Amino acid sequence: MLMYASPSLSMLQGSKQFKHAILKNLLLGLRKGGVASRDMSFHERKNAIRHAADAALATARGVAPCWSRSLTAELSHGRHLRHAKSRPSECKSRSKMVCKNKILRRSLRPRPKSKATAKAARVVVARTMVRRRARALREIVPGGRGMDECTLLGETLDYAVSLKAQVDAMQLLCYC
Amino acid sequence: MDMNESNEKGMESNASSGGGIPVEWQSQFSAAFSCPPAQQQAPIMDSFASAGLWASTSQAMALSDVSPMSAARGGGFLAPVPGFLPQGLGHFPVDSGFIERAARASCFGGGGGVMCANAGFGPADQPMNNAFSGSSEALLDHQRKDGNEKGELELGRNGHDEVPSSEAVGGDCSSKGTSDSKRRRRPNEIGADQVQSSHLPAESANDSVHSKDKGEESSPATTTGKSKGKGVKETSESQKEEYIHVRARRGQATNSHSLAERLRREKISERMKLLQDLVPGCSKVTGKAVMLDEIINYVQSLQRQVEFLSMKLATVNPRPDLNIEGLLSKDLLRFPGVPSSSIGFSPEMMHPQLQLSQPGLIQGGAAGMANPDVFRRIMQAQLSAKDGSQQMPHALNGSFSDVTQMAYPSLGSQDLSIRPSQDGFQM
Repeated sequence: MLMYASPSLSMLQGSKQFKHAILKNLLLGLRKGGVASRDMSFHERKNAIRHAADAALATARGVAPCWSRSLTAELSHGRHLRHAKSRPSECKSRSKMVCKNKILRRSLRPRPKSKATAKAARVVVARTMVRRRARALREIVPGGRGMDECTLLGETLDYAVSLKAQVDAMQLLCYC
Repeated sequence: MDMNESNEKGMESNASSGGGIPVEWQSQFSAAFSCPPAQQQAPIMDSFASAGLWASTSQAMALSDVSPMSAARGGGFLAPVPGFLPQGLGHFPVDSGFIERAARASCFGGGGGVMCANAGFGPADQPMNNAFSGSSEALLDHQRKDGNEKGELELGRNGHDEVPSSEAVGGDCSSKGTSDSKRRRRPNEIGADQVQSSHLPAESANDSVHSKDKGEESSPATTTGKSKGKGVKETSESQKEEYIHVRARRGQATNSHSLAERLRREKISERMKLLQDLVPGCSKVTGKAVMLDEIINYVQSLQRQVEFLSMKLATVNPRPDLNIEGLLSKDLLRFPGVPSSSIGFSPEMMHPQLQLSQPGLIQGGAAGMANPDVFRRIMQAQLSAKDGSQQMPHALNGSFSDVTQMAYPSLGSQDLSIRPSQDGFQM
C-alpha cells in the first residue's frame, strides 16, 4: 500500500520540504492512477494528472486548513458524481464574473432612499464591490462557501501559498 | 520592505544549509510527542532552550495545536513541524516570520503566547530562562488539561511583562501582547513578527486593549521563582473567562456591537495586509476592492498554471527512473525560483509548444508557460516569421490562432500581444 507523504506543515514560500512532499505525493499518485502505463486519451491523462496534483497538494498540506479538507472531499466525491468540469471553463466563468463586477462598478448607482448623503452612497457602493469580490473569491477557493469573510481571507492566503508551491513542484517535474 | 528582501536572501541560504537538521529534529520531536505528558516535554523544552533553538521550539509548540481538534490534528502536525525549524536558527528570518504570521492569521496554530514570550527571549537575561521553562511547563500542563488556548497566551504576555520594553522588538511585542483583544491571534503574530515589526505599526498603535487581569499578573510576573505557580494561576483564571475582555479606545463607542465589529474589521484588515505581502505587485494597492481583485486574479492565474502544467505533463511520459532528491537538488539549481508568476500575464499568452512536429498538441493546448527561455524563443520565431524567412514550420500557421482563441476568449485586452504575430505567421 503506497503511503502518501505529508511531512510538511511548513508554509514557507521557499520551502523545499513542502514542495518535496507535493512532488513525492504527485509521483505516488501518478503511479497509482496508472498514468504511465494505460492507454488514455490526451484529455483523460490530463485530468488524471490534475487530479493527482490536487490530491498531492491537499495531502501534503494536511488537514488543518479548511480548503484542504474541502479539496479532498471534492476530489473523492466529485469524481463519482459528476464528470469534474474542467478548470479553464470555471476560471473563464469566474473571470467573466469579475469583469462583470468591474463593469457594474461604474454603472452602479445605489439609490439610498433612507440616507440622503453622498458619503453614504459611496459607502454602500464600496461595500457592494467588496461583497461581490468576496463572492467570487468564495467560488475560487475550495470550501469557501461556508466561510465568513475573515476566515475566507485566511484560507485564501494559505491556499495561494500552497498553490504556488504546487506550481513550482510541477514545474520541477515538467522541466527536468 | 528592504529589510524583508535582505532577510529573504539570507533565508534562502539558510534554507539550503538547514537540510541536515530536519532529521534530528524529527527524531527529537517524534520522541517528544509520542508521549505527550508534560513531564517529558519540560526537560525536552529545556534542552531545546539550551540548544539555543528556543524559537523553533516555540514554533513547534505553537503548531502542536491547542485548538479543540488538536487531538486529531496534532498527530498530523507532529512530523511537519521540523520542516521549517532549521530556518529559525538564531533569529527569525522573514519568511518563517511571514509564514508564522500567516499561519496564525489563519487560526491554525496555537501557542502564540509562547511565540510571544520567545520574542523577548533574545534580549532577556538569565532569569527569563527559568520563567520560560516554568511557564512552558505550566503551559504544557494546561494544554494537556483542557487545551485552552488562552492559558498559553496569558503566559506569553507574562513573559513580556518581564521584559523591559526598551528593545524595539520587545517593545512592539509587549504593546502588541497587551493590545490583543483576540488573544488567540495577536501574540502569535507578535512572536512571528519580530523582524517585521515595522510592518504592523498600525496594529500596535491602534489597539490599546488590555485584559482584565493584567494588573494581577504584573506583580507576580517580576518574581521568576514563582513563575510556575503564577502560570497555573493565570491559566485557571483564563479558564474562567469565556469571552474576550476589550477596553474601548478613547472617544469610541463602548457598545458591545461596535467593539465586536471593530475586532472583526481589524482581523480582516490584518489579513488583507498579509495577502498584500503575498501577492506580487500589490504593495501600492490601497482599498479592499482592488486588493481583492488582485488576489482573485492571482489565485486564478495559479490555477490556470496548474491546469497548463498538467496538460504539459500529459504530453511528457514520466521517466521510470525519477529520483526525487536528484530532481530537487538539480532543478532547484537550474531554476532558482522559477519566475513563472513574476513575468505576469502576457507570457502566459505565448504559446510554449516548441515541439513543432506535433501540431495536434498545439491545437489541444491551453495558454503558454511563463518560461523565459520559451519566451525568448517565441519572440525570435515571431521576428523570423515577420522577416519572411519562413523558418516556422507550417504546423504553427493555422493552429496558432486557434490556440489563442481557445485559450483566453475572456481576456480580450491581453490577446493584443499575440495578434501581430498571428499576422506574421499567416503570411
